Amino acid sequence: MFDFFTGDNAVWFYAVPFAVFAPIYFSFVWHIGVKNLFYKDTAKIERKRLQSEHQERINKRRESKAGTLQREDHAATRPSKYWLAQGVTYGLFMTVVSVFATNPSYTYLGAGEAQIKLNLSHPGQRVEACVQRSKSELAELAPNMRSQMKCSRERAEIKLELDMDGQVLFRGTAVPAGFRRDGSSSFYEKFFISAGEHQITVRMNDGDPSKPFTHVLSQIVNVKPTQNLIVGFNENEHKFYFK
Amino acid sequence: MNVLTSIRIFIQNFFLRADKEYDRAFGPEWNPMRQLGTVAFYLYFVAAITGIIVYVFFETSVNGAYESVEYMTNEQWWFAGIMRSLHRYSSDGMVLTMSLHLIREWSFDRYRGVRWYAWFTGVLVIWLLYVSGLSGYWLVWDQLAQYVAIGSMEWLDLLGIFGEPVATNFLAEGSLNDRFFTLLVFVHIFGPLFLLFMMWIHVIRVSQPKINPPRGLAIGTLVALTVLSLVNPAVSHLKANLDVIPTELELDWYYMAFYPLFDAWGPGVMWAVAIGGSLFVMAMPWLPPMRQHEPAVVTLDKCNGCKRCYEDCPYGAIEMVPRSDGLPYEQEAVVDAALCTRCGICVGACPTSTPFRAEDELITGIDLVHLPLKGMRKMVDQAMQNATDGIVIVGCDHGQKVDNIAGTAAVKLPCVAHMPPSFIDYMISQGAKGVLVAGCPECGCRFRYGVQWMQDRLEGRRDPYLRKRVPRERIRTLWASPLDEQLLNNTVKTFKDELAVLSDHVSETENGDV
Repeated sequence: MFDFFTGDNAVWFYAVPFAVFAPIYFSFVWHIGVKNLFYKDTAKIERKRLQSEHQERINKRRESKAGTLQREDHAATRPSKYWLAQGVTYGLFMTVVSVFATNPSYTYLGAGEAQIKLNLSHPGQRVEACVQRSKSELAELAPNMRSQMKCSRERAEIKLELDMDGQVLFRGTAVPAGFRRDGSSSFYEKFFISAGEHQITVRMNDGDPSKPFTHVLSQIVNVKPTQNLIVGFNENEHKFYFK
Repeated sequence: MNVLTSIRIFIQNFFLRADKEYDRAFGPEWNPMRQLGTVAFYLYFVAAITGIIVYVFFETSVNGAYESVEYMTNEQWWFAGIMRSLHRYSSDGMVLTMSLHLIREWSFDRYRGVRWYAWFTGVLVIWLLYVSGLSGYWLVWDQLAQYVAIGSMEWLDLLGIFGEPVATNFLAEGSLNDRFFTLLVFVHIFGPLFLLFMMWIHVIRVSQPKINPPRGLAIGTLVALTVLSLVNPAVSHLKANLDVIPTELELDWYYMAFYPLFDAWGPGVMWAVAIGGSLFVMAMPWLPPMRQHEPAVVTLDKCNGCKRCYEDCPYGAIEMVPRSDGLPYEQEAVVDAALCTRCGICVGACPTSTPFRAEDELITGIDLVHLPLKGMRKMVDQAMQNATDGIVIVGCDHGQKVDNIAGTAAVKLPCVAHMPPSFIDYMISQGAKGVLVAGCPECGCRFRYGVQWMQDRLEGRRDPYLRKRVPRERIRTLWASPLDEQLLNNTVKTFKDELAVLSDHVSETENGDV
């Protein structure tokens, strides 16, 4: 039930936008032609009548000038009697529309195949470490800006590797999003693989590129046919997962 | 002739042949090959109306979408199911007719000059049609929708305009929520609305545009699609499951032919093909070889503002404006160069376009720069000298092959309606035995109304008329395809025979034998 003044379904919630926008909308619809449904534009009708009478007079004058010539039977306006041929044409149209609406079928994934989707969006470590602000530095800031730590915005690039059974599936680096490079780095890749057991290893370095990988997961996974195996990174637990 | 021209001529001949056959089957007015654009418009409205009906039965939620579509197809097949199939097949038919329309206009070289605008905006129509059609496929939320949705998002992600890849929204079951389907419905409603707007823009510069097919053709098309919906109703794939990759897909190739290419080549190449292809097609009207002459020009002291050129111009390229030179007429004609196709129909309509004058006075109120009235009379005089059997054929640059027919001589103009009827009077009075006006097939005039106007002028239904004194038995018209060479030869032969009988009769009368 509606509550007239409070709650999520309060009537004013619907009534106010309606009261504001409905007159604008209906006035627009009215002026683009709805008014003609109720009030006939007599001046326009009269103008049309005069135009048509004028045209008729011109036609009559032309016909009388032209003498006895009669309009010939034009092929263009003569209906055709080749119904069978028309039927064949419509049949052809139906066939062409119908056939290519579903045929030929397309094999996206072969039998016994599956897919790995490597997907993660993760912010790299800060390029410069945060430093504690001194009391004098804090005092210089506006009261609402007095954060204890001073941090640079720029994040490090992320280096990511994905191997399967010792073979490289992916090697890549992603830059952080944003003009100040302060957003997450994103990866979205997909690979078709044969179903079955595979040793899958994923490694990531989200900090100093000269140092070893910061996150690694290596696991034997039994991938079923048509499975969509997600290789991702859980931001809460701060670790990779296979799903 | 280079390879591209050969292909163009080959395709043009295919359409001409099809026109010929369909003219016989349907009559010229109903010929579907000449109505491809109007049928595409019509199919849009069929899709729009059936779409509204389908929407009544549709549920905008992840779980409800598929079930509601299945309900339409299986439980309510006798109404909602037919509407769904009609919705699908009409949108497929729209791609088919639109593609044929595009190829046809290209093959007939009807995309340059004044036609650039319709050609250019036509490319935008194609884009919007694909946005509209593909967004509809998502709504079913079956495996095909899953494939198309992920493919489309991966394609868009290459642009890098989204902070994170949008395709991650389709990562696994549970990624989507019901509001996503509300968003999709909006896309599938506003896409077609923008499409309709662009279709309007597409024809806005055409004078008296034809957007409705003849009633018989419209009924036939609707009946055909309804029969198809009953015989082969549209069905869904299995319900989408983002944890499972679809294997075999029955793609709708009208809309999805690019997706397998996307799988094979990747998003970068497909963006290059889509953007590069579209820009190339949009630029085609300005690419060589250019075949554009100067637009028609008005000679003001010969123009009395009679409006005949204004009424006859098939492209609305002539405006009547208040007189600017002080002569005692209300208006004068002004040519809009951007709309002029250089067809010369206005010259044929002008009452001052008469050959019965001294050469230095052969100036008309409105004329073509590349083929003025003086030039036309020279051509006519030359033709009468060359016509050994006394028959002059008036042809056009885009119609029947009127050159090299034994005993005759041809006068070729941009359009047969470029020739004022007074020239036919002139030819007969100067000794031509007969005049054959051989133009494009009825309803197939390159300049829309040239054939109709010429026929009306000769039959006295349209100014300027052919004068009463001209013996009608010495005039023939033949509106036929360029491929109808046999018909043209037969017509010439019959005409010759009839003229010979006529001449014998006249000479016998003159000798007092009758």
